[in-house]
Amino acid sequence: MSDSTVFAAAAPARGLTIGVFIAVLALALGITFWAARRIQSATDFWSAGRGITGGQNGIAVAGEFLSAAAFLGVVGLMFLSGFDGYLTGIAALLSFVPLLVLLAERMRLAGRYTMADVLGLRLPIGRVLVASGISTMCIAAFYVVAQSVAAGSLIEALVGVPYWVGVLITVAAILTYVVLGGMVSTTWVQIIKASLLMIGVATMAIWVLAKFGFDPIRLLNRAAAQSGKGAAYGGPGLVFPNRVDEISTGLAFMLGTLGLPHILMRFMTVPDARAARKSIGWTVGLVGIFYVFVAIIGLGGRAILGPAGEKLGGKSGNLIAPYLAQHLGGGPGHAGGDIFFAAISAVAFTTILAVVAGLLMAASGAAAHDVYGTVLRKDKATDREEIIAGRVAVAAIGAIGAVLAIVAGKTFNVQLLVGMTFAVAASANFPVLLLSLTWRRFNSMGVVLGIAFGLISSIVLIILSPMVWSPKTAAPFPLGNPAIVSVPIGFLGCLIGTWIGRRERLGLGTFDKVRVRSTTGLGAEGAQPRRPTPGPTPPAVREPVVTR
Amino acid sequence: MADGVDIRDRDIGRPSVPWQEIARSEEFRRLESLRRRAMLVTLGIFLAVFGTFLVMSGYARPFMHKSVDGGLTVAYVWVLALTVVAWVLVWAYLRFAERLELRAQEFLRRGGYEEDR
Repeated sequence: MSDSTVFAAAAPARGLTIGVFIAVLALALGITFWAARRIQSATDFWSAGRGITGGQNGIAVAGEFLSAAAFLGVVGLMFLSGFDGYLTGIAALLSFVPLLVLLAERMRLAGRYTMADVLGLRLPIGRVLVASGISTMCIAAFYVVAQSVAAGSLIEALVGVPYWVGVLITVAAILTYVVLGGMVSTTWVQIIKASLLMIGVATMAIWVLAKFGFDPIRLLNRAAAQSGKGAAYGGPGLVFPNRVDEISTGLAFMLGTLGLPHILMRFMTVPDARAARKSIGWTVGLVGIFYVFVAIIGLGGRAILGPAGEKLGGKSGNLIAPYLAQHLGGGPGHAGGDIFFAAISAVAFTTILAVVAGLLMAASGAAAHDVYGTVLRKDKATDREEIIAGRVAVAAIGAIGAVLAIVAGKTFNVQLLVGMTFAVAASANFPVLLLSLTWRRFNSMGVVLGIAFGLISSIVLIILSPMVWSPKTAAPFPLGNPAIVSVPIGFLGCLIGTWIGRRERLGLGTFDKVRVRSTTGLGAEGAQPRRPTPGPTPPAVREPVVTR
Repeated sequence: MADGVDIRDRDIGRPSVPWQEIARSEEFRRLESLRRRAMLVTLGIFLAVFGTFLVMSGYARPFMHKSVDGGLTVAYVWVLALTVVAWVLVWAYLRFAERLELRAQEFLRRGGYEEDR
């Protein structure tokens, strides 16, 4: 589709736009590499992680969380359909409340690095690692699709190349970044990116409000009038005409965060449970303000650009934010408009790079260390082999993501695509994590079946959903987001698996260890150096065994 | 990632810490139940405000579309209130957890429970 490119910077100004875009991108990446090198010189990569303060980690979690979807997608959704866009954002913000009380501290106290550590703390590690590794990789692939759609559209609008070329450029950039920045602490990427994004979003929101005399009611009135949808624009129902779908999508955004590997990982990088909790305080503060700004921008897009914006933003609305920036700066062809357009696009693009890089790092860790190193090679793989395995996995996930993003096309709103990722994470990972921390009899078969049921049901239901099927044929599954069905299926898998594996020899005493640890912090890994690798896990039978 | 250093807990059931003894002690149970109560209260409030919001968004749309002041609808007021609720709940839980942690540390010190490394 060329409708968005037509409205992009006029040919003579395109040089300026691209120049500013590259300058902002280079600046962001430059600061990141500089900061990361400084951190690395102090101590080694992994233990540097445990020295991250609560505040820093809070900003980093916000950084992981505030992806291009949260910015471009929510702005686009609010522009197109008003309130429902905010609903997805608020559900995601609220997810930090259950994350705080259910998982954050326990994760920090029980685990060391990945989600699999928490599961493996009291369960035989082999198949648990395979299952959680596969789910991590699937979630990463879905996420790459969503972010690449946004990035591809951005590149298309900026440079004027076709969308699929934009996607390929993006994925190539991300892969290069992950390989080059393999040892770069992604924490600093996120801190810098989150700061840039907050500054960009705040600038735009204040600018929009200023246009309406700092009267939000005037902004809301104008947006509703321009939408042509009247009162419906100010409430739920336009994105999700199906009532159950509205609730299901809200659930996916609320529970998905509790199963996203790259977000959970962040709670292991802090020195103690206190810092883990504090970082959630920071995140909730920042993300809450962020969504208020984003809502102002989305409504501002509708109020200022009016129906003409529908052509600019495309069917998905993904590009409303940069085009609104262009308009605020003076419009296309004006230096101010082109510079602001390029700057906001660059911030969004940096966001995509950083978020996907972080998630790919998590996926490559799971693939290289957990699945390949520990399970396939039984701890006999060399570092070099593991790194190669990690890179192969990252390249494969990137390639699959790129193909899907090109096939899916840019007509999808990114926030809705990310909603699918959240649904997969909520269905596959959240049930097993919760039960392994709270249910005494939960066993490794429960983990395997829980992940399998949640993963397969969510993916199959997405494939059968109206999001994938053409609007002309009725989709076999009526909901755009499957969470309300697939999360219970995930829990069901846990129950069935635990029943099937009921004769598994569980060291029930180890559950006491998890309990004591997650309540008192006794024996949790602090900021000390780790012990060298011992042999494969001995079966956990040293304590009273119950076979029921 | 592949740094050659194992990051998983391999020492399940190491006998140096009497996990079961601690888990059965009265003070530990009290700590655990305090935490559980705080968790349930927080989650209860959370589910009440957010759950009602979600269900109303699906099934009480005319009400959500009602205007409070011009374009400011019930839905927007509710969503902004949810942001504040999230902030307050997190703040309250952080305060609670801080106090619980002090008690837990005191308990560990008194019992002389320490993992030998």
